[in-house]
Amino acid sequence: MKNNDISLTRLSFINLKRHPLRSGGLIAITAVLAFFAFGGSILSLSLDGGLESISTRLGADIMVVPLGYDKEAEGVILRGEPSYFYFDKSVEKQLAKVEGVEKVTSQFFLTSSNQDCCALPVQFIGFDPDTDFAVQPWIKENYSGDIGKNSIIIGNDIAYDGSGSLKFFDKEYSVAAVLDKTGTGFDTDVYADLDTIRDMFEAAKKKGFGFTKDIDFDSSVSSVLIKISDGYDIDTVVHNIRMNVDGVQIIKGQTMTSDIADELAGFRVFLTILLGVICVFSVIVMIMTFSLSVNERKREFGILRSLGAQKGMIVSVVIREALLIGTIGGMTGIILAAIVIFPFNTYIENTIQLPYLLPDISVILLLLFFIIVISLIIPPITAAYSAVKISRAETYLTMRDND
Amino acid sequence: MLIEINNLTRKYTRGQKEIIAVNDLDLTVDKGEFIIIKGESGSGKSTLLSMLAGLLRPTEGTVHICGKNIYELSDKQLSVFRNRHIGYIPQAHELLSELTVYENTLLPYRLYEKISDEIHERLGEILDRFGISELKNSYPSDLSGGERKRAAIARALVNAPEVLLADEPTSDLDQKNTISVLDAFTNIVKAGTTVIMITHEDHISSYGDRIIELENGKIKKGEA
Repeated sequence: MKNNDISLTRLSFINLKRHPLRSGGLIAITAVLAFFAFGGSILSLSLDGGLESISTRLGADIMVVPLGYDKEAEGVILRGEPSYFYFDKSVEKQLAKVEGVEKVTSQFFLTSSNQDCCALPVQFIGFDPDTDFAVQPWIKENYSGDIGKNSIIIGNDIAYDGSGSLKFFDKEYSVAAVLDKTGTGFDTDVYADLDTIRDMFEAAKKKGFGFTKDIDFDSSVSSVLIKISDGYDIDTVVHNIRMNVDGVQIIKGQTMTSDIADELAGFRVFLTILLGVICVFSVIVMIMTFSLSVNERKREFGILRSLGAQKGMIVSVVIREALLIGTIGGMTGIILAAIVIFPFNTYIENTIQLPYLLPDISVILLLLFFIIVISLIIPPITAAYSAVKISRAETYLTMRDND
Repeated sequence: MLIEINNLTRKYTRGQKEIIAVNDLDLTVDKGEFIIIKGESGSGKSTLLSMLAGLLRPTEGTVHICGKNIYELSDKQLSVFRNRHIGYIPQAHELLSELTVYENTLLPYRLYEKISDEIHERLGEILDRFGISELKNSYPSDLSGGERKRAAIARALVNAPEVLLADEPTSDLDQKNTISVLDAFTNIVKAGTTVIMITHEDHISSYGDRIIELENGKIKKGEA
């Protein structure tokens, strides 16, 4: 027994089924639009998130490292490439005296071996709790206690089973906190105070790590972070440093983020143009297809009108069809984008070599809602003109047109 | 009086030329009358019928059905009025090809009403009356010309309209099917429905209570 009821929605379904190729094409176009809108927006927001993380976590206006080590320092911060480099601790005092410098604090870098906790070497960053202004403020977001000796704070990407400790250079260190994900090199860092780092350094020395041989821990630092005084221009302070301190490489926090911001701006322009082209193409194809479809169905609409259907009902049949296309196409595009973006998050992060932090779930849900609304709105808008046009035509003339 | 037409005129423009399909026509029709409209091709028969059905706005003049000037109604009011009071059988392509006979005949009712046991019962009776109840799950492409016509008549009657307008319902039908359709109309008229039917076949004119012949959009023969 066949279904013995009929409704306007069913008429829309029937028409979609009647032209599988055309319906499939329209659904595919909507899916492509939703795919790029959702996928592109997530990608763009993730890159923005990564950039923001860097600005927040760098915590300093200027980073000073040994001459020739600026790329390594950027690798540590942006891409999580473990590295170590040292210069004399006296540089910290020299920098503190430079005009325009308000605060200085030094850090000591160390890397683990891959025989330790993790498959890949880990970056250790030792800071001085008494002078630090860069690390502790955001560590406090996850951990409010003191970081005592042999305690470590680990980045979000460090392999940690929650057992309370991690082993480095054959020694257990207690994990005080795991930091939130930043999508930057900071996620593979391990933070500890200088006493703990000294302990690791000695352990590394005992294990015969070559780089430790000629380094005196107490008189060496890897980087000096600088906060400039109010009223000073960052370029003026950089100039002052260059005039007063030799053998150092100066990295402006602003420059590091603005370089990435430039790359992001380029990406955003590309994404906007791509989306714009897809959107315009989709709208044109949809308008043409709905116009053809409505024109083909003059007789059907004429019959419906002759049976007592109002103009609004004719428009509604076409709009329902467009809504069905929008719903199926939009959901397909979003699901495909989610399948590509979320499971391959780490792969994308590694491939693009830029800070990459997925937005909060609330932002993703909001975006999802927005893209669904867009997917639902565009097909009906493109169908509306043809639908209204056919509904306004004289029914008798419309029916004769197809004869 | 069920239908009153006054000074009804419909003009078309074809290229630069103005064509007057229906020209200043007056006509009154009583309840339960069976009117047959005849005339040659282009005489204005179908234009007149479509204006009676509220499907084509006249250039001038008025159409009153059941006391209502139908072209003074809004689209919504006119659509509902057409659905409730007028059954219209177009000349060709009467049924929607993707719907079964049952769905096609149910369609006018479903535009404004929810499905109920009562309508299934009523529709069953109508399909029985026209001898197509066994075809209710068939699609129009599976039907003969006569069966399609009968399904279209059944659909036009589902809302029990006061007026049934049929545009050449017997064209392309063999004699047996023609008689079957005309008998059906005769029975409808006996039940009180007014039928206005267009035909160009002289031999079936005898079925009508009144025959009106159109020529160049005007009544040539017959009482207005």
